Amino acid sequence: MTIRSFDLLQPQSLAEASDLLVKHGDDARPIAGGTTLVILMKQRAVYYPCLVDLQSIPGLDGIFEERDGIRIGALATHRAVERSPVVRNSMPVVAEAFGKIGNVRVRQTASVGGNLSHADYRLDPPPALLALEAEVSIFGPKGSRAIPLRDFFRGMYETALEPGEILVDVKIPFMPEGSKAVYLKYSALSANDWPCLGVAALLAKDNGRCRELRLALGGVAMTPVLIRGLEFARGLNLSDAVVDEVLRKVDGQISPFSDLRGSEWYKRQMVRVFVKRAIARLDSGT
Amino acid sequence: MADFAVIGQSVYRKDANSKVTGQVLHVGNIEMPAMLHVAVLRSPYAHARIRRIEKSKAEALNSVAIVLTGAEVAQMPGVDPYFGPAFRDQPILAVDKVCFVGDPVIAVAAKDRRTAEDALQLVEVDYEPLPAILDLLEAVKPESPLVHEQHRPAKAFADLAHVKAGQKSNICYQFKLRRGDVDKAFAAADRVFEDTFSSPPAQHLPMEPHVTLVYLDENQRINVWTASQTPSYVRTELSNTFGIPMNRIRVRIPYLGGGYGAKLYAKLEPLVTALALITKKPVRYALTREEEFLTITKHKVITKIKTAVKNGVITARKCEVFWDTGAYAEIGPRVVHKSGYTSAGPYRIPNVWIDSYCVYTNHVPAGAFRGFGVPQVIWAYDSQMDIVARAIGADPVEFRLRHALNEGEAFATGTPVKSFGIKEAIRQASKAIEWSKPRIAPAGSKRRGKGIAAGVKAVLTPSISGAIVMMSADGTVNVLSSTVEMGQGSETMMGQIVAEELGVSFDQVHVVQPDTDITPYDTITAGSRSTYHMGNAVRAAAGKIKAELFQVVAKKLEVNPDDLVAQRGRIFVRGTEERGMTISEAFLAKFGSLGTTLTGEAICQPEAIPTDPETGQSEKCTEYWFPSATTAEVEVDTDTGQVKILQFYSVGDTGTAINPKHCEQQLLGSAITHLGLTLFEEMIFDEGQLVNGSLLDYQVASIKDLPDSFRSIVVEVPHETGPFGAKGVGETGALTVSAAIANAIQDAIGVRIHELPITPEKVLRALTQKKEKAALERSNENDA
Amino acid sequence: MKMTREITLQVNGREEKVAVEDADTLLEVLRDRFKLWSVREGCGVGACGTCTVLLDGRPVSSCFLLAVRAAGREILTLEGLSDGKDLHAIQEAFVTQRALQCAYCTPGFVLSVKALLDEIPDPSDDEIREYLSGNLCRCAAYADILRAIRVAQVSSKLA
Repeated sequence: MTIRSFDLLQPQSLAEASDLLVKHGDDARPIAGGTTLVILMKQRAVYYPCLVDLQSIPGLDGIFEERDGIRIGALATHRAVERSPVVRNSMPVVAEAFGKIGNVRVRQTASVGGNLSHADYRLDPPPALLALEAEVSIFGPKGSRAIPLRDFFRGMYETALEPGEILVDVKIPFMPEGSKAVYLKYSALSANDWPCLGVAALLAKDNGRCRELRLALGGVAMTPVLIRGLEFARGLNLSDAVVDEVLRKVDGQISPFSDLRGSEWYKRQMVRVFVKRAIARLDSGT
Repeated sequence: MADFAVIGQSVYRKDANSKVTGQVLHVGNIEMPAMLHVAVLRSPYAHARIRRIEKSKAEALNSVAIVLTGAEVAQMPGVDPYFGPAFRDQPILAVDKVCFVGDPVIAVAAKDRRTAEDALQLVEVDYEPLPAILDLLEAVKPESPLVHEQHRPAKAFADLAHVKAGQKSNICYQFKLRRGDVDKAFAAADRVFEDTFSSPPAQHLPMEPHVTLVYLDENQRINVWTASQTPSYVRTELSNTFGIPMNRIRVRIPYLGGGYGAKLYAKLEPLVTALALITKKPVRYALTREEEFLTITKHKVITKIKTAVKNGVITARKCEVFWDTGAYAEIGPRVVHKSGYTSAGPYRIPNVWIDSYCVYTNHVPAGAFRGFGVPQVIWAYDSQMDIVARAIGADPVEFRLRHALNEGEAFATGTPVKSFGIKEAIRQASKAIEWSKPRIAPAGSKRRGKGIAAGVKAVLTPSISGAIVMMSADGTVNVLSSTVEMGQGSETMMGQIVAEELGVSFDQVHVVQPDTDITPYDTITAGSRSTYHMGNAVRAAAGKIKAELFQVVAKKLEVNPDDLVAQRGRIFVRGTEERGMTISEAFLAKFGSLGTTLTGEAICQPEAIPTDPETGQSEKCTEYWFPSATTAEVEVDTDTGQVKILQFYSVGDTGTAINPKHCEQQLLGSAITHLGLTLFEEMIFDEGQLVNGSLLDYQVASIKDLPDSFRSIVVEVPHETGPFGAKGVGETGALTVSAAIANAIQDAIGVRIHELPITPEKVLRALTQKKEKAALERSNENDA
Repeated sequence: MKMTREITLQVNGREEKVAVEDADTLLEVLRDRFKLWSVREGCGVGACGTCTVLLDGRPVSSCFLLAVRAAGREILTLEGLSDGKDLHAIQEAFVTQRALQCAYCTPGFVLSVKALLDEIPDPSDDEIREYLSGNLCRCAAYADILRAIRVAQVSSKLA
């Protein structure tokens, strides 16, 4: 369908953008890469008389290496992250996760900030970012603030963004010394589909024993889930018994619901399969 | 094919250059001055009365030309507000009630699409919901509420002449076949197998959505440009619907961006014609993809199949086949009939009972989908063939060969089969996959298996194809045919046949795009019928020109016309090339003037003997058959249920391959598309609402979903009356895919899936149930 | 009420000024204003690839790209690919390898293949499939398309 006429407002700064959002209230919405939002407006499922174009603000699309991690601007495209040498070198799992979204054209257009702000429960980047303990910077009427990504997702399509606030960047700390991470995306139907679920895992070992294990999952709750309580595995070999205990904890913290890609029963089965596979992949030294 | 110049050559397709440069004409590219664009408001209810329509705000919007309702269409003088190829049951716009979610209610024509869609949002419609008939097996019960109170046969086609105005029922058409005595055979059987199989509604998904443009020319004739597979039918339907003489309607069709059966009969044409007639402006309507989902589908089918075995052979088969044709029958009755009578398979079975029901429900209308219903029935019968074979310890390939009909044996309809390469197809398919080679058991959670399926489709008979061929004095040729080029290569096929017949080069033949002002009647471009029917027609038409030229040359050279041949642009005495004339010389000899033309016309109209309404028997139910076999090797991940296809072979008997590479492409293309249909395609409804009505959610096979290795194999069993022995190939590859995959999965992990699509979850559930059952049995044994 | 703004689009090597609404998609503008019919709508959600254009050499879905966002960027459609005389090596390969049937998806595929080979001159089979995973062909000519890509690679090297 066609999009109903609207005005594209093009602020030159974050402050100006935030002011416009406050001024127009429910009549306005920020537009970043503009894939999901444009599609919804084309389907006439949503309508905003004003869209606040974040692309007109300079400096929001950079990917920078800092002393303790990498900062990715909200307007960086998925493709830029996927192909970024600094990301691929120091945290390849992030490049992997962004590289698994949709198809190459979507990745060429859609933005990191747009993806996270949309807060769809199945998105690929959040599990990888959660497993790496990412933090998001937000700018709004009251100025800037930063919050851990795990506190950013509040519900289905709901984030911690207050009226007038804009996601500015994602800061991802470097991975712990000697650790490895993986993101497994399981698409049950065609190879190109939204995931049934996604599992991100990070493992650091000392002398064959677990020093730190982190897990985050997508598609199995209303928001992406960072698994808590994995500290018990520190110092242990990741034996079958330990992995079973991990799976028990995971099972207790997810709340999958049936969708087009799998019933609740199936998702629970697949969580077990793919968490095990992720851990096995990291534990085996490949 | 050493005797032929161009038949049997894999020439490059005629339309390749225009298509690869994007210069090709599609209806969506055609613009006209003051052209209006259309948006349609569709019903949000599966079944409801229309109580009130408030449209004044929409009408008042700037640049809106008209806001049209069904009641207004019904009041247009001389206009039948209902159309359809089997029953005139589909309203141009809903009149007093809506029958499915998506049923068109209001049409706006405006200066541009955005204005039209803005106007739609200003229209208010009040509905009174009615009970929706959504369950297929409930809908057939006598006590079920009705989708339609009356059924009005359309009388458009000879093969549907027997379709009657029905009794009060949602069953609008029933095909019956009775052969022998199934009850007696079941009673006497060693074993009886009973299974139910189901196949979901699905989307044809041509990448080019439906689009139609209608305008009145300077003579006030109705001119239609439309993306349709049926130019002749569109003209007839518009003539009948609007009461306008046929020659005051012109239908033109350029290349289609895919059809697969979605673009048959009338779709947008009646509505766009009504809008053009009222506004007196050109009107163009192009569907969005979401609207495509709400326009036409592949039939959902539930098949109950019961088979008796005695002494290792099948003695009886009973099939009850239920087809969900949706809110409007479209061509459902033809599908139910033609596929219905093949429901027992290409096998020797003395006692057969088939009931095939075309059922109305409050869902999106279903119509012909590549395969014309046969994939759904083969899904049932050739899945069960494997169940039976394995249960009695027979090898699946050998079991099928044991039962497959030989040339001249009677099909379940009583028709002796001719040009029926089913056994050769089975042999080639099993050879390609090295059927007898021991299975490898990989380590870990993966299991491998091989499967085969065989089946056959019958071509629509009777049907009609007429053609005119016109040759000019320089030896170049125009072919006037209403066959539609939709990617299947029909234009190239016609070019090859005519070039061969007239002895000119392929490049000298131009095939004119369908234009009902000049191209004669053709039933439809569908059902794999064009190579045979239109191929014969163009060949015969060309043959008449050749005969005239032979007369001229024979007279000039004082030889017998029977001694002449036409090759390489010359007409000469067989064996003595120098004793002849060029085509140009022959024209000059006949006419004495430059630039003259000769024309030939022919009609190919095979007859069938209608099947008996009570027994389904006929000595000739079809002109020819499409035997098909597929073999596949799968690897099942028993942790997830995912099925990977390692090897895949699609084998089809096409008769003589006019263009061998194109035949391979058609076999493989339809097969790969059906892999997607087997593994993940389905339209999912919730209380009549389509839940996955866009490509974000409805999954389609991409380049990542290809099997590891795959090939198509053309088997050529020539047909004695096909053009150069050819039959057809457009659908053959689609027919046996699903059953082959399910059979391979059974081989790999010993579970049987009865419902398409075969998703990983279904496989895992079946495996889990199997394990639980085995564990229960083990614990019972331990207890005992 | 309907406000338009004038933007400059660089299409197939030419600069054109055009007045667009903010709500116009690049697909709509390329077809309705520029009459570039090779750019087609197949799904409206970026999943099928028939609307693919190259933006600064990279493939994007024009069906959900706002036209104003394409201002100042280089846009290439299929019409701009050949030099007007000869077919581009990729087009030639599509013809000889029979990599098209109804060909509605062909412009999207040809442009995507160009972008692929420009970005990754010697792609593996997996890289090809990944890059083209969002280009749908309902005629399922995928096998022929894969072959055409390898042929185009070879003939590009010889050129």
